[in-house]
Amino acid sequence: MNVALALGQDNRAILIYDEPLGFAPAWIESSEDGRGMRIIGEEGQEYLAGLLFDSYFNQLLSLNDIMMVRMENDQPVESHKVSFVNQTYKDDRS
Amino acid sequence: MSQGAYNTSLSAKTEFTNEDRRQMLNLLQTGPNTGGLQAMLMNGGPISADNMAALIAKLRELDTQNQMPESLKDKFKQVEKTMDLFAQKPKDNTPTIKDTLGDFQLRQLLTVNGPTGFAERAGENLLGAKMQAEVAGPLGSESPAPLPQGLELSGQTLQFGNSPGAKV
Repeated sequence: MNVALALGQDNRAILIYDEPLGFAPAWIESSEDGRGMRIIGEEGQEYLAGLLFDSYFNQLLSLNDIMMVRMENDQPVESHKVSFVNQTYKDDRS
Repeated sequence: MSQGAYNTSLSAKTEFTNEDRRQMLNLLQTGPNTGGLQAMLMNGGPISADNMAALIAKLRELDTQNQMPESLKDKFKQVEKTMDLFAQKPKDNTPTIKDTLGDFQLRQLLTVNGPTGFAERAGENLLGAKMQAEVAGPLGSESPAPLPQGLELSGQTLQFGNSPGAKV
């Protein structure tokens, strides 16, 4: 599945993807470690959207939510606004 | 109009009154080969949009003497509008999403997974913005496998590629 992230001027973000997830997304988690950016479903399903380099990961720390938009034939067909959860707790891990 | 692909909550019992159904049944009984439609009408269970369309078409065909009351004809039109809405939902949804994002001012476009072309095309089609996408991670050019439900992962155990159960 192709996944892109559009970052806006006003601290908004859109996760754009092109295949049905097969579940209803509840939130997006991201962490600096190998767990990467994951879409979490309402019933606990997980989808690994990808890993991010630190420099890009750091740009997401102030996000509270993300709009998810599924594209089909280059047109948006489905959208969800979900919470964004930063799973990196540096103080606890150092 | 292809309606069979969409789930609807249509049923003869919810869309029509008992009196409507009685009149429809009487009319159906005047035509040949209508046993299936009669059963569908009377059992009250869910009816696909295609079958509902077939039922209405058959009733109109059999109504040569204009026996159906206007109220029933109006209900047919209402049901057809509902079916049109079901059939057009994905298409109709498109401008709504774009409208929601109408004030989104793109600052940066990142490729999280897949080729940068996807991100750039999506940025243009969704946001109307032409921008070069940056590859945001090591997986920018290949697809990671979806994770099975509830699997705990660490940096050491994470596997990518075409692993079994790729569909969540």
